[in-house]
Amino acid sequence: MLNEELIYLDMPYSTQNELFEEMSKKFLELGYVNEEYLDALKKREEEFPTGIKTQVAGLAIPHVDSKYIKKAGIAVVRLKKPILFQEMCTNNDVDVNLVFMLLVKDKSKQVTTLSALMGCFSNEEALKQLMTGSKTEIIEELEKILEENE
Amino acid sequence: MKKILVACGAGVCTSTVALQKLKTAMEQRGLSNQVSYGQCAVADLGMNAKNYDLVITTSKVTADYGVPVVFGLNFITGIGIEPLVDDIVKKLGL
Repeated sequence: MLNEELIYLDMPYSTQNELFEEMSKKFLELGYVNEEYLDALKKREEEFPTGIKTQVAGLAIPHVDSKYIKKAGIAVVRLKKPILFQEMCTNNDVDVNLVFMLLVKDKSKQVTTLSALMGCFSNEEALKQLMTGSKTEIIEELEKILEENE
Repeated sequence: MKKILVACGAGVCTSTVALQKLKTAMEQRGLSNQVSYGQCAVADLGMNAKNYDLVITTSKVTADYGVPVVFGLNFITGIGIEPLVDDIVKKLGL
């Protein structure tokens, strides 16, 4: 599920809409999602926000129903400047620096991976590495996180 | 047997993760055989919640479902899972 083509660093987006629109285009080109993904994503995030506050950075895990996903993956988008999201459960504002766009095709097969990924949200060292690392370092760090938590 | 319903936006992603963390925590406390679990979308809580003793959600909900509602954000951030499970166990009277 990890692939360098899904790691995007220092992206200059300034709004959630811009982020979603630009990323949707890329996912569509790469064959990860269908045409309806973007609308579903926007609607979903509005209804059920996915922002998460951590000690190191603001995170978000936008995702949609599997019917919009053609190929499973985890995309990592690191932003140049934080984008405003709402926090899961509280709907409070949260400045997000790092976005994990979860492309979930089969929940039973991916739940271990997702759970492992979310396992790193309390790991400051791992998050720091994701906030500063290169594409290769990020893939290595994520592989380590998935191995340790699976 | 106490029944716990875990809900998120679509009943797929964060509720699955929260459920897995909850199951592990209940096992560690030796309570596995005293609880059963269900999973659904937040939109279906109104229909389903009455068949359960407690609802855990990873989305904001304000409706009254007639059963205690607990927010499961800690299962996702991984911070404060133990106090959250304490609260769940207490609310269930286990």
